[in-house]
Amino acid sequence: MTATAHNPAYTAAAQARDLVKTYGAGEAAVRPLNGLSIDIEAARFTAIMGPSGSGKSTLMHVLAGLDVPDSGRVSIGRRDLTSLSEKQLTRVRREHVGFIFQAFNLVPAMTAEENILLPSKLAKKTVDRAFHDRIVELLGLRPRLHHRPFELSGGQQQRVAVARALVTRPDIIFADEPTGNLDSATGTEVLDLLRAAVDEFGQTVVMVTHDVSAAARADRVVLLADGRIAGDLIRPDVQTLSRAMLEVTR
Amino acid sequence: MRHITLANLRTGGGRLIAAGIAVMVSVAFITAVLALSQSFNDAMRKQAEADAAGAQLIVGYDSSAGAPPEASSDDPNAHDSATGSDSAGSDSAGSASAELSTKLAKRLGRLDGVESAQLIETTYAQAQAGSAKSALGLSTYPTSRSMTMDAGTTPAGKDQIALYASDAKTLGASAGDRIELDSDLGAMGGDSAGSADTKKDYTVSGVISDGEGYGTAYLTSAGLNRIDAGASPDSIRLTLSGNQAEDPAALTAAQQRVAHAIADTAHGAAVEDEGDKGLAVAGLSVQTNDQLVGQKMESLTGSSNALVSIVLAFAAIAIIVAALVISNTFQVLVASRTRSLALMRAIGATRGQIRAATLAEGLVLGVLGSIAGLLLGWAGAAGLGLAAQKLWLPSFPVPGLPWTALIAGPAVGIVVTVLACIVPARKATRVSPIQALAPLDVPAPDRRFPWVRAILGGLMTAAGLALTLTGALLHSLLPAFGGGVLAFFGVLVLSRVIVPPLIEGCGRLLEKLTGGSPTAGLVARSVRMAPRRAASTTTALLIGVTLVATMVVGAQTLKTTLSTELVQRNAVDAAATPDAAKRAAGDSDIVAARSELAGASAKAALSGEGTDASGTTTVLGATRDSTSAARRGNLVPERGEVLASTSAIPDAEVDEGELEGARITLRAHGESVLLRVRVEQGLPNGTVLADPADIAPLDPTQGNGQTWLRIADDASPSQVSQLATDLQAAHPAAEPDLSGAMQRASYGQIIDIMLTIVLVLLAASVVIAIVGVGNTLSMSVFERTREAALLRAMGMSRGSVGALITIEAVLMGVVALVLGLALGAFFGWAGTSALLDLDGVTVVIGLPWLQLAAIVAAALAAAALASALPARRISRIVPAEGLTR
Ligand SMILES: Nc1ncnc2c1ncn2[C@@H]1O[C@H](COP(=O)(O)OP(=O)(O)OP(=O)(O)O)[C@@H](O)[C@H]1O
Ligand SMILES: [Mg+2]
Repeated sequence: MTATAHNPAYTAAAQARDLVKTYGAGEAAVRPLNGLSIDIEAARFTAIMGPSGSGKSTLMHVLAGLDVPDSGRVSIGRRDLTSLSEKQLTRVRREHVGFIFQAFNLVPAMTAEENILLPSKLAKKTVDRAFHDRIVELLGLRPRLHHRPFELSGGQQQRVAVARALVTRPDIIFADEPTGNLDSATGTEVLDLLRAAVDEFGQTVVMVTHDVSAAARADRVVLLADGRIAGDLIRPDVQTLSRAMLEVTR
Repeated sequence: MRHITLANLRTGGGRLIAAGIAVMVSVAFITAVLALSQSFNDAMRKQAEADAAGAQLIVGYDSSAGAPPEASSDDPNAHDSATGSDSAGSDSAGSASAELSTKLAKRLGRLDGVESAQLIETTYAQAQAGSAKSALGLSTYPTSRSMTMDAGTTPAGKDQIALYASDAKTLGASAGDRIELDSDLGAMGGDSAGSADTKKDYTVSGVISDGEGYGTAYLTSAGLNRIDAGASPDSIRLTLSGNQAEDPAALTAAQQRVAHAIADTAHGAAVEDEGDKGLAVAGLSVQTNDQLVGQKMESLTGSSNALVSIVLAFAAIAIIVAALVISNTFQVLVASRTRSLALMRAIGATRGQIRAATLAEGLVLGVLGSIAGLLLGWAGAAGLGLAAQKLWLPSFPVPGLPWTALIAGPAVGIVVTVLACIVPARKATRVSPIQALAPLDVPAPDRRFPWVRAILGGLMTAAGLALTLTGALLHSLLPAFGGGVLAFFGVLVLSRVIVPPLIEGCGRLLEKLTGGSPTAGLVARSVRMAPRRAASTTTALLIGVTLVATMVVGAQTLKTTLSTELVQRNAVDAAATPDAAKRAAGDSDIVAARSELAGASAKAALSGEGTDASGTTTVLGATRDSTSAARRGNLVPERGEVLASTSAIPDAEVDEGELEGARITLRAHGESVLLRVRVEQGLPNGTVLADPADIAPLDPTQGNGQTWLRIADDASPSQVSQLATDLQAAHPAAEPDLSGAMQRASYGQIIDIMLTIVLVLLAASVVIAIVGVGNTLSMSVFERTREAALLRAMGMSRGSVGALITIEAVLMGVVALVLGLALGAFFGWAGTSALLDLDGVTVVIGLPWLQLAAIVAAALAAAALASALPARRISRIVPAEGLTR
């Protein structure tokens, strides 16, 4: 709990160096990642903020091995993702990474329970039943386990996605606007869970958000603009964050 | 509305291709059939015109109308029976009528205004030049018809013959060559190989240019009578003097004169005016050239129309499958557009506009598909026409695009497409504006149980199956056919109820078998999300599998049943003297088994109620072992018993009733045995079977016995015929009886040819079904992009994501196979049973395992193949991109 970015003894859960990613060519070219480097500390809650189109989702996808950069290096733990084959990359995702997306988090044909168990099934790992039950209980999902996504509210779906990300105890969880679709009460609930994942289960969480108060729950907030890091704040309060954001957007 | 349609077409574009192909193939099928039948008619008209050319009036002996008038008969009643429908064309009457016809022709030739009258007679013969053989029709050379000769001259002497170029080519003969005609066409199978007095030699006087006909050779009247004195009169060709033919009134007058002249010779028979068909008198027709051609074409069109309707029935099947594919496509399109349709409704589009937009989209698809189909069908017909020209009839015209095809093809294509769009269009109108706002992240599955379908489909299926069974048991085709159609449509209606659970069940089974593979499990669960799509895709495959299975099982059942029946009549495929069998069949590859029976030639005397027949017979010692090559296992006599047929003693036919239980005394080498008869009609002629111990006193030996051969089931008629000839040659005195094997081979060949034709006709439906499967799968890839991306993000491998599609396709194939093979087996058996109305014949289902296995392999391969591209596409989805869509 004492390690910070300035402490030489910290461990990086994920690392990116000189990432470049371009879409399109010539006049129409967009460069959501423009020589970006970042270290994500282990067992910390990192939030990423920035104006729309600043490359937040792109960065997260690249960090998580869902997409490949044009150049630069990415690693999760000690594994260099950029040198991995598609197959190995898939295995890394399956075994070390968890996801929560803004929407369409669940496989429609599967029940909540089946969705939660899907990653361990894919990895052919046995589930820690006690841990699973604890999380399900914590999220209040017990009575909903045998329902399918269309029978769940948006918040419930999001909670199932959180449960899924937690149960396999991945090294790092990526969440792209996990509260974007939720009302503030449910949003707070989800944030509590992510906080708990870090504080109680020692997991690493990276979250993209537009919501200043959500970002204020994080240990560290990274500001993006034009494909580069435009600010890096440790445990900022809401006011500091708002001001920093205004500056970046300007 | 136009904007909506255009927008729809833009987004639907690629996904409409498969539906377009379905329309195209069906329209092409119809177009090709109509174009080819038009060409066929044209070819036939050309030939009919060529046949009639040169004669202004033709007196026709209508073979079905009866015997010709008996001009010189003194019996006034004679012509009454002649005009009746009973055909008096027996052999003895044949030569008599030839004589009468010659007289009649002479008489007509002497009439006023008649320039010439020539009797044309026809018959058939087997032509042989060197080793080449061909069956030919023979006809008197019509002197009034001018033929284009490629080489040589028309026949003039009684040993000359003119051939069409294509026949000359088949026989490898050219002008000046000798060919041999054999009027004994029955020189096949077990009969004698043609005796000398049925054969005559001729010289080819000339080769007639193709384009006017084929299959007939021309001789002089004397030449024709050399080979067959009883050739049947076909017509009397008359030419008229002056230019009466150009003047309709004069032509009619001449026609009347000829008819009345015939009436006079037939003791004043009435002349009847049959309108377009000319005049009829005393069983003869008197027609002008035009009338003859017209009538020939009419009867031909009748039968070609029947053929075309059968073929179009197959086109109808193709269209039904196409309609399923189209409807399916639009259902999925409408579902995928729910949001944008709702948006349009929200901004003011009316229900009517939405419906019209969807129907207009169908219309555009129908029109484009039809145009493509028209061109494809035309090209296909032209290709087949060219092939027919090369391989069959050089005068066959290359098909054009007849107006029937030009109208019927697109009409069917467009109407079917628009009709298939009606249900999806109605669905589109039910989209409410609210749906534009609802989050579309998690689609709700279609969960209503389709009660109406379940009940309606269940009733239709049950009633149809019952009706089919009734028809099958009563050997009545109509109820069996109607019931089959009803049951099949019942199953199609039911498919929405039974197919999704079946696929899900198979998927879950696979999940269990693979120890909980998430891929198999997900496939099983996904069926619930889109049951309609799964059902209609499976249905398309199901139609194909059922039809093909019905045909192959039906054909095999027919073969098995006929074979069982033949085995009753001929328990032994071929019996020959041991010596002949060794020499002729020693290395024949169609002999599947052989057994040697020791025997003796014996004098047999029957004594029983009312019989005292006697003569020579061959008595054979039969045991289970020595009769193993027989087709039946019940040819083993008990002690004191002899098995004999009613023709066991060749010189003395006995009644079956008298034979059963009679006593028979067999005498040889001064010894005799007395045995009791049991009738066994399946034995070779002139043989009886007894227990070897019983006939030991008669001193049976291998040499005096027989060799029985079993002919392989897949032997061709020509192979059997060859074996018959060889056996005959090896032992000229014996008459090897291969009729059972010969009939089995001929039936088998005919059934196989019919089956091939039917399967070729079904090919269009099968192609459309496979396109439909591929279509549904690739549309589901569109729908499942995000799901696939999510699964990839969760760590599912590329292969597994692709396998989602492949496994789904294969499971659909499996379900279609299970249902289709079961239905097909039942329909095949029922159809054959309904068709065969033979006394005391039980129709036993025949399952052609090899062909059924081929259906299984083909269906699974088709499913896998259809899924190949979609599976590849879904496995290539980059998780990050798929998620942001
Ligand atoms: N697949 C793509 N093809 C082309 N351009 C893309 C693609 N994905 C992203 N972009 C572009 O890259 C830039 C960054 O996109 P990204 O989604 O990372 O932004 P973001 O910061 O997540 O924005 P938001 O806050 O709106 O989610 C944008 O300009 C976007 O248009
Ligand atoms: Mg984003």
